[in-house]
Amino acid sequence: MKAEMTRFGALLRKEVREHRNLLWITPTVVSLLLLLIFFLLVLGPLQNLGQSALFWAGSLLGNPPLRSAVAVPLFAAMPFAPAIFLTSIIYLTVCLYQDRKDRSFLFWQSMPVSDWQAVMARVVTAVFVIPAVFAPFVLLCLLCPLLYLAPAMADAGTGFAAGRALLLALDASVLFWCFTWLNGLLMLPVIGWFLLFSAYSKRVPFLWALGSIFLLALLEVWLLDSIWFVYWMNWTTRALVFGYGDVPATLFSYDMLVALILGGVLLTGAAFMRRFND
Amino acid sequence: MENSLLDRRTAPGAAAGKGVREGKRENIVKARGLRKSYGKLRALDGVELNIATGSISGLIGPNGAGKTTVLKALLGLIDVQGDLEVAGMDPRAARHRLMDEVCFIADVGILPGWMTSRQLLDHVERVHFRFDRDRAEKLLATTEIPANKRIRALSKGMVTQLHLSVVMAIDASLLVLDEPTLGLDIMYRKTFYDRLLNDYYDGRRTIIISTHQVEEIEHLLTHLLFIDKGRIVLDLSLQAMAEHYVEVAVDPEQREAARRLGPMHSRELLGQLVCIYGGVARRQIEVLGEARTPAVADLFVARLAGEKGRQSEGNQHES
Repeated sequence: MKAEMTRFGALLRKEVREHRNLLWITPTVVSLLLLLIFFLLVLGPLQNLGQSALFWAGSLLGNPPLRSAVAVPLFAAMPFAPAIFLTSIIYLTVCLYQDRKDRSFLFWQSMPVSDWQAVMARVVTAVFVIPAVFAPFVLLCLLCPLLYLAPAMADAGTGFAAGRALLLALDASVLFWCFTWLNGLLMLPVIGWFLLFSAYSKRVPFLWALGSIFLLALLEVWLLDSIWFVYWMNWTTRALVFGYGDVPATLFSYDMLVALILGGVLLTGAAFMRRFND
Repeated sequence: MENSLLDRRTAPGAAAGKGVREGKRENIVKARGLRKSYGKLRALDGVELNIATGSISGLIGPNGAGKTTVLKALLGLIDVQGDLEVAGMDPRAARHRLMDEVCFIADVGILPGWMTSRQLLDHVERVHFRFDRDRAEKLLATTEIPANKRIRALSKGMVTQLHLSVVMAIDASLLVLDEPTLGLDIMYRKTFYDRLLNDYYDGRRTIIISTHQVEEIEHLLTHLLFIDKGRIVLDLSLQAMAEHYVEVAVDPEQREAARRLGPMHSRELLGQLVCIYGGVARRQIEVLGEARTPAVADLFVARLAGEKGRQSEGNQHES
């Protein structure tokens, strides 16, 4: 068991190393943009934040219980959700395809790693590792503005201090990570879909995966006169707008069951394609 | 040193399991009626194959004969019809478990270019539990491969050396090489096979080599497999080849006698008739001229020409 964990850990490490540019550059760019926007605002048009504005912000962040106040920084972290989604989709599209393109596929296949393990390493990377890479950036982007504003808010007599800022930023980051991986599990069919085309396509896997979605939607409208598929895709990709929900209730919901079953079928297809697509 | 190597090569399976010690050679590869089609193209057409433990087998055939398809089937990389067993396992059902026992080098370009050689060793060490990191480091120390340079920045020859060092540090029982020296200059090709024979082959391990450069591996082989149009057309040991096939440079006055004896293939070489015979008593041939064992490449051409001749005769009879 320990040996298998070591092996799986090595597969995850390999994914992070191989896609390091994508995994590090995207959160860096998003973080820099967000911090730039914040500081341009507070040093520009919002430079002279009025006493009342600071008091209002302090009342939102300082007075309510931590659990309620955390909604504000969590909302501020929203731009990271589509960034994680897009990073994951790009990663999923290229990860299996790239192996075949540079012919390293044959080397990976010469290792005692099953196709199912190889596919699962990609899934774990998309659902857990990519959000984990983003987590310190999210924390940084929440902490910097909160710490910057904390002295002014404290002076305004709101009772909001640096300690509270740190707690809020940490709490919001942990919650953000929980929601993100939960959404990742709910999006398992999407992950399976893109991995399937990454394993199958001879070229342009992204276009194949996206084109097939449009084709299926059109076929449904044309043949069945319904838009269930479009509705489902819209629902399942809600990570783009970041779904805040009850974590345990979502984890043990029928939605999650359907996502796991459908995702499992598509991932099995991806493992099969990886092996026999010669 | 040379003698001991020769002993190891000429006694396949010498250090293998119980069956070998009792004089019975075990087969690490057993294939019956392998078939594979790509659309209308029949890549494998009933391949029958037995490869003995401890042998060094050369899989030789023209382009498109099915060599790579056979090797891919043995490695579980493609699905084929028929019975297949490699190292006691069905590659189609247990490829990843089979890779504990089997190593392969497809060609020079398959190592991931984004890795450094150190990262490659790190990865293989964690993934392959029969990999000996110290041995790999020692083997690499004999080369000029830098540890922190990306593989894509290495020369073809260095990539091959790196791959061979990794493979040689894995305690596997079967090594499959598919055109391993393709695109390399003669120095690297020679080093590759020297290292393979001196540092890797121990009489217990089995090696299957597929290559077009037959002359370079001829001296390594203990067994020959000729493949053409998806079928194995010749399967015999080098010892059996030496006993069964004879090439003779015919004396001018013996040309008619040589033709009457029915050579499987004949050609003119610098004005002299050179014939290859199969299954004819050596003493009958020796009177015709200078007799010797044919080179593998010449036997290959003779055998394939014979196949084509038989096929065209068959077609004429049918028409």
